[in-house]
Amino acid sequence: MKIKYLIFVIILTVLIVNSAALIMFTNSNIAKISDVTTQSSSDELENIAGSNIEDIAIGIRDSVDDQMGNQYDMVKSWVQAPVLIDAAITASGMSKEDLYEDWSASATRVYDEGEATGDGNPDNDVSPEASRFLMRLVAQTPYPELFITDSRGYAIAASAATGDFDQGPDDWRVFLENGAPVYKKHGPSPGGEGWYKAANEAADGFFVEPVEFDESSRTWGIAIMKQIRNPTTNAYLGQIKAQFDYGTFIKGFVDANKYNVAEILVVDQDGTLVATSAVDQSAVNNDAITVSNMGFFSEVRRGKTNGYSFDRDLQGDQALVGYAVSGDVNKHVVVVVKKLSDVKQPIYAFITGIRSNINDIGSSLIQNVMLIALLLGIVTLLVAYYVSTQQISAPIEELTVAARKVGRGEFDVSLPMLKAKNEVTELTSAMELVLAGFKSMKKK
Amino acid sequence: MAKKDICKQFMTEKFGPSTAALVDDMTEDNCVEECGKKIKTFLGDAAYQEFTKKVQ
Repeated sequence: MKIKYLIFVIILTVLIVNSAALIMFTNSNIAKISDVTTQSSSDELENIAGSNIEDIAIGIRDSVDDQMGNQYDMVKSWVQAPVLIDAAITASGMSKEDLYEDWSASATRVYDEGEATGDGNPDNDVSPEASRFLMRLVAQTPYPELFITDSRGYAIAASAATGDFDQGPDDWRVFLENGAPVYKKHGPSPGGEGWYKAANEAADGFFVEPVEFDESSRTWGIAIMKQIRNPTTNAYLGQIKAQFDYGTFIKGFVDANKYNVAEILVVDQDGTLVATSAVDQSAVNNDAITVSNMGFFSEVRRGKTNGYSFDRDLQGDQALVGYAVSGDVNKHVVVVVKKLSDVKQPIYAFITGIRSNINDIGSSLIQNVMLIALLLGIVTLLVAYYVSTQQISAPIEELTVAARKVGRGEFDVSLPMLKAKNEVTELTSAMELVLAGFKSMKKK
Repeated sequence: MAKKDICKQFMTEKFGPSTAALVDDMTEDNCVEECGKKIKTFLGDAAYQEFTKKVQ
């Protein structure tokens, strides 16, 4: 095989091997790019989904806190009502017995197991206007029960019959003994009822009791208390106790459809359900059902106020759970649950799209690489063929012709003229030397 | 004129361009000796004398 063809074959082989290696390398890296991109995109999208769920929980939590703040402000505004202030001022000048008569008129008094009960008749009260004012508030607001006391703790106006007359330290009650009513201190305690005492001792005269579940109405309630003070003298006149329907209130915030999530819960600091968006409400205040064993709750216990976690929901399904702890007195936790399958479905669709795009770009890239390799190969082959022909094959062929002539005794031969200096130049030089030697010997 | 140039010119005349090109790789100090060996070996003493005269 001639040298130029040998060189051609060698270069062609090298080009094919290099092109194949380049394509394999490109293909392998495109696959890696695809894997890394899709994995990182998937992780990032899951984190974004988690943040979104957390944001929903925070939004609901903030809304709950804001609206609870509005409720507190509303109760605080009620104690500014002149009708209630006037009733409290009037009551402060009345005896216990007169006020008790207003609370439970002796002519119509009913005794329950020997103890007098309130008549609930506003017309008998110290200020019928005050009681009717409270009744109107009950009709217009989420407060099923409102009443006010005087400065001693005696109930003086109410939206309905109250259970006790005296909320103060003496706890005066009337019992029927031998057919005659007798005043007795039933269960006296310093400061009176717990809530009454707490509101009296509060610097701002305001107190909110922890939420309580009422088994009879199957709902949650919060008692909100605020001192009534004389707007002119700031003298203490009594208190208002407003029973807030927290159960109905909080249910308004757990609308899973609105946020396109599986479930929204409100739980207390023990993990007990206070509200759920689920149709089945049996989990509410159910000791057997708790979120305390869910992963996110350990973060809540550690004091984290909001976040998200990949968790298992109450049904045991994998879920993405966002949570936010309320700043309100009850520190309730808003929990937003989205099934992981629902989270991953759009992410999977998106990732599939990305993979498809990367693969398309990869195929196009490989085609371009192959085309460039082919063009470079052709150019390289042509250059290699030209160089090998000009620098090696052609001079060697000339030298071969010259050597044959010299062999026949013809010394008038032409040798190749090479610009480059290489082994062929040295071979030509050797031929020149031999030829010169022959010529010299011939002359002699 | 440098010795290398004289050597190159002489080698071109006596042998050819490819042999003269070899002078490029020689130094000013050894070109006379190297070229002299080739001239003496292939062309004989007369040519060598002619060369030494030129390079002196």
